[in-house]
Amino acid sequence: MSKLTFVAFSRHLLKHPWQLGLAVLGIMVGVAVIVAIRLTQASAFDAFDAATRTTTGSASHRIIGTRGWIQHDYLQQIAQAFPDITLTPVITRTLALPKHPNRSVVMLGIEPISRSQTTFRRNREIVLFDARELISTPGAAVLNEITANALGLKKGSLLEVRIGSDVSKLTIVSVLPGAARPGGVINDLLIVDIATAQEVLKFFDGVDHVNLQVDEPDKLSALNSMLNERFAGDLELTDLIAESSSVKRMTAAFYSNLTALSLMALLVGMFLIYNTETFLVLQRRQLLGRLRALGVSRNQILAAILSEAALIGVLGSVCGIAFGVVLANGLLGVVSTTINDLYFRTSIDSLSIDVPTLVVSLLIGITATILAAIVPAVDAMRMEPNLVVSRTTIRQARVRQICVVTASIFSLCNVVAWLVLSRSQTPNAGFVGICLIVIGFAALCPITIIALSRLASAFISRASLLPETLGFKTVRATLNRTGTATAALMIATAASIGIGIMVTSFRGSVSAWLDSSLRADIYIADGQFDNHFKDRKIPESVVQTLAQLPEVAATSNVVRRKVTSLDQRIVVSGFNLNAIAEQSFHFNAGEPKTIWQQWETDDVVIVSEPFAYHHKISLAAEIPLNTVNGERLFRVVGIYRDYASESGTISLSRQTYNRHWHSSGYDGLGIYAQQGVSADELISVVHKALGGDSSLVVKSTNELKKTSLEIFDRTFLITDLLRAIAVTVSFIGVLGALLAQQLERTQEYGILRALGFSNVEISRSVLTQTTLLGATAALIAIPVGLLIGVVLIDVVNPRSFGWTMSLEVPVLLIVNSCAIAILAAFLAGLYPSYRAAKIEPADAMRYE
Amino acid sequence: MPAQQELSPLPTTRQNIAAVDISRVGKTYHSGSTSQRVLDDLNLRVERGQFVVILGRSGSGKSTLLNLLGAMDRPTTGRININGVEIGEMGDRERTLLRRTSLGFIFQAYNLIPTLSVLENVQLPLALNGIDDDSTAIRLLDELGLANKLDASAEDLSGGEQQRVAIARALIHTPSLILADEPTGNLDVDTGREIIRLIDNLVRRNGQTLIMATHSQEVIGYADRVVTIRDQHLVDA
Repeated sequence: MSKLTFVAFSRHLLKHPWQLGLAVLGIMVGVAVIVAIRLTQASAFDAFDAATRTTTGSASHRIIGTRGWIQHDYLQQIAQAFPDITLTPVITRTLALPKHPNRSVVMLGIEPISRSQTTFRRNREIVLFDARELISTPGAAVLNEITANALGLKKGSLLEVRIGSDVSKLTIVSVLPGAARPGGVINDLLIVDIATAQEVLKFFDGVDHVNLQVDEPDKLSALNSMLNERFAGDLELTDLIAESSSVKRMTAAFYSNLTALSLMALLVGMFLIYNTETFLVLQRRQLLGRLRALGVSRNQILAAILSEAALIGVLGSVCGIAFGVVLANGLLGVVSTTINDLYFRTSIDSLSIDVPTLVVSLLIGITATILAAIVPAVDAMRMEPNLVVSRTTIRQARVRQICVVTASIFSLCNVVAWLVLSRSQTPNAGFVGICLIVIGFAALCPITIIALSRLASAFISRASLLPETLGFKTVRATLNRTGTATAALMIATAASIGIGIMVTSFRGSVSAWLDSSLRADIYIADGQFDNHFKDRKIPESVVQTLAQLPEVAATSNVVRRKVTSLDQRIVVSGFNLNAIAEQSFHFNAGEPKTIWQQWETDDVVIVSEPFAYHHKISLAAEIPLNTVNGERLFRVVGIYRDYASESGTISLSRQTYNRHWHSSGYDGLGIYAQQGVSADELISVVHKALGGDSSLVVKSTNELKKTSLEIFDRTFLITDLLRAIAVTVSFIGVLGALLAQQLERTQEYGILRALGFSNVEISRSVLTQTTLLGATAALIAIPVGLLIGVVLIDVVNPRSFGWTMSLEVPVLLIVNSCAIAILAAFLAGLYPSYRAAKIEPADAMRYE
Repeated sequence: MPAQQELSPLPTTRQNIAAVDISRVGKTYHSGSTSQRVLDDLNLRVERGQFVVILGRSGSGKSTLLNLLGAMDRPTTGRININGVEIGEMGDRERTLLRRTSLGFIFQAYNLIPTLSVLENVQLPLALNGIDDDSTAIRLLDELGLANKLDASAEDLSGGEQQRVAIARALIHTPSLILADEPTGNLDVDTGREIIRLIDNLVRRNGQTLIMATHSQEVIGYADRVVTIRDQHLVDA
């Protein structure tokens, strides 16, 4: 390609910065969304890794006590049996801060010497505090500078902490950097010597768990055998690396959904690039004609346009990466909340700039731009050498030709989509199916524009609505411009409707599930209300006290523990249910009557829907669980609907639980009020009965439901943002298409003005066109949106999370989305209509 | 110029071959179900180094004939030989090479590349032939009185200046055939006269063939031969 040919092209673009801006914007937004999603995921994982690193050091395994703690003599026996394994005992607990009512810290009690032996030997962690000072100073603690600043602490300050009603004072002996820096620790973590931790907790009998680093398989096997033989059921060995991978795997589905959404934004961006490139080719027809006349070959034209597209791709992608980093910073809070709500507790306080992600995003952006530019480039390449090109030379597509092309693309895409959706079982197949459906229906845009414009023309009076009649004709004549813009708007609207249907259906199902599962009047938990296993249990005495209150009619309770099964640590819940509480389970498989008959007497379990999906468990399957009596098989008698945990849970009766594990205390209580006693009255009575144990949280059913739905809404906040971005991009697409069309018809508008059309009439004609485009996009978006919704509900969600849900069609949301599409198209027409109306007839005629 | 010789599809050294030889050429445009015959049964032989003027009314087909000679359009019937090579059957690639190496165009509307400077516009044909040479373009522009406008944008020049740039661009790569379509049509009489004199001087000095379509009677005085298109046919004036 001649350098001058390229210069001739690129200078044109530089002289038209708005068009360059439109092209860059299209790809920038697509790339930005991809970068933002990937970086927030990388940051969440880094934060998770930092938290794991801080709390476990370089430990590979952990010995845990199945009662929630390990007594000292067990520890001594292990140390004697395996003297060459460095054991790092740990106590960890969440502490309240009396002077900061809305904050809490996680206390991590360690043996600084043994921990530093483990970490220094492996040379993986820098320890920036003096281990001896932590041991020798009574009540010594270290934390990071972010937490210290937030709490107004510095080296030497005293920090008051509270567990239950016991308040202790700790001295800050060192302030460490944040987790992102070497030797740093995560936010809200308080590192103390294990003896200090026991002092604070007033618990001197043992430790929570023991971390250890074992690489040799033989030694690991020997340790495991010893634990099983000598402490059967009391101690378990867990693989920390496998557990960490499992947690990360769980979030993958959440991110794959977001990534699919970001690709949708990129698809809309590609339409915009296509549109802009077509516009640029159109604008440079004279230039192309002259260059061809001078001997520039077709391949040189193709190379010049594709090189230009690649440059736009580079520019757009670089801007997109920059914007994506900014967007990711903004999303960090939202994603962090969702991760905390759904997956693991972490504090993502800084964005991790993952270079491979940026490189991949750059390549995606450039490739997408070049792909989008291929068709306009080939169009330009086909241009014959010509020196008298008129701007009004418009290739009018023939209706029959359009019908054939439309029918072919529509049929092909939908047939392939159906095949992909029915043959493949992966969530990604769902996204591929959605893409094919969207592209198939996008092909309907031109023919629908023709049909709608003809229909509208038939119903209006030509005499009084001449500008509108002209607008309908114009829109048919410029399908090559308006077709793609309409398709982009349709895709954005359909995505909006589809995701809206999924979210509404999901929310409806969750709400119905909460209504049926939360049968008690109030609930009590130690800390958060979730399905996680808790170190600290609610004592039995509390339940006995509350059960005897005159205002209490009945109670139900649950105890949870993590049990090794199917090579994973699985949460097992032991329920003590009354007759009302039994009704809270909605079974997708299994007969309730049969289930409850054998519930307490047999070794049977019911599993949540996500658990059954992830482990491919069906009714009557037998699940092996590690019990105090060794591994036992439990028969699955029911699969129930449950949206509380994505990883899923196994539930059994408390009686069955007691037969297989040592039990003491509870993780959650449900309290049923006597008739005539309100939830508020019951909460007040319960608070009084609990006395000083303020670590227990009491919530009414309504409050719990409200909180749960708030979490749900927070989770989908990010999808709302992505939807808004997609609609904005397509709005810009319609604007660009109309500007292109206006340029194309400059002379025609000039002739109309010369013939006596007023400015207002010209504007009316343009706005008629844009409104028709919006209406077309909205009309096609309805069925496409419904199909997207159905695929998300019936294919993507069950395959990603194992959750099924009932389809709900939110009519208001669909009407709103369609109205937004039409309004966006109308607004996008305002500026082109203003410009068209300002055209001077004499100027317009000079183009010829 | 090795690159140019390599690209050139034409035997440019054989003196007995006519620069242009067209035989029974016709051109019909089709639009939907209607068709319009613009040229019919045209015959013309132009010797090397000749200056031929084509006269005719507006819409008589002068530009169409130049487009056919310039390998920008194909005849419906007949044969067109340029420097002894039949171009009617040429593929797009050969036609592109022919325009690039052997033809120069001067047009009424100048058709300069608005995004390039004066110097770059003139360099363009050389660059397309793989020649990176500033000095030839600068010398030619100097000769045409545009030495002080080398970096100016083509859009910033007067009509006469733009046409001089177009002449330089048409001649820079020393094509054997120059096609000029109403080169003075947009210019005042004095400037038009100056432009014709310039074209005539430069073309004759290099021994190039020039075919010019015009309305201007004044141009006739410079021509070796004058032909007229009348009723789709070509007749000697």
